[in-house]
Amino acid sequence: MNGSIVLRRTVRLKITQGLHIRACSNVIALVSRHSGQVRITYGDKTADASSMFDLVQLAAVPDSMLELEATGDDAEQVLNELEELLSKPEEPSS
Amino acid sequence: MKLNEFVVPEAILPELKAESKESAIRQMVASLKTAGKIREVDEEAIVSAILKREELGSTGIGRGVAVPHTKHPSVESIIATVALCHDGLDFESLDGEAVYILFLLISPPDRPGDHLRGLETITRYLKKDDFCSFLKQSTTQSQVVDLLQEADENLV
Repeated sequence: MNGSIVLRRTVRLKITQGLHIRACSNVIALVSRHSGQVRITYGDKTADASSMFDLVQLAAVPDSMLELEATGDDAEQVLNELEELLSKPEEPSS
Repeated sequence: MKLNEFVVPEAILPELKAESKESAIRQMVASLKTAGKIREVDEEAIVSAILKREELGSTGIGRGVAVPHTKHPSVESIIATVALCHDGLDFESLDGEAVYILFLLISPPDRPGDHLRGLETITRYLKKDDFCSFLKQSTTQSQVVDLLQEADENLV
């Protein structure tokens, strides 16, 4: 990844239905507000967090541990926001 | 997970004609009913649930693909059908582009993992340009079935 700052954080996915399409849309919307790159790793798969196809292919189930990686000057902020998004349950419709 | 584990071959619509997102979804659900995979008594509730889900945000995920879906207690395992809309369909997709390939999924409410693995399978295949291209060119049920089988066998 390019960029002078690379920050990493591990979070537990608490979204009730896992990383389903609407949750992925929320991740993409969040990441798009930031200038740096964000990647999410689950198991042996790594997704560009701005790509719906990448994120869906993680097939991350509830309670899975996700590795977040962000670059750029606002890397810490984007990780904070992502952690908040991924760490709280939402209504079960997907 | 492989496509042949959950795509219902006889419900595939290789030449869908639809004026709207709702029409496409209705025809796909009806096709699953005709194939005997859902009961007529559940049809309207399933259509309504899928349309309600679309109101929360389009399942047009880009690359000309949409994956309308819902969870419903009438199915014991995940089922899906495929429709090809050769004229393109406005699905209010994330990338603003028309949709040509639709995978409609219905899964049991208590098994989110199956739903996620079904979506993972579909997007993994559709990420391949050749698979997407061949699928868009298919005009018969047997062509689609053969292509899905080849993809399951890693031949595409």
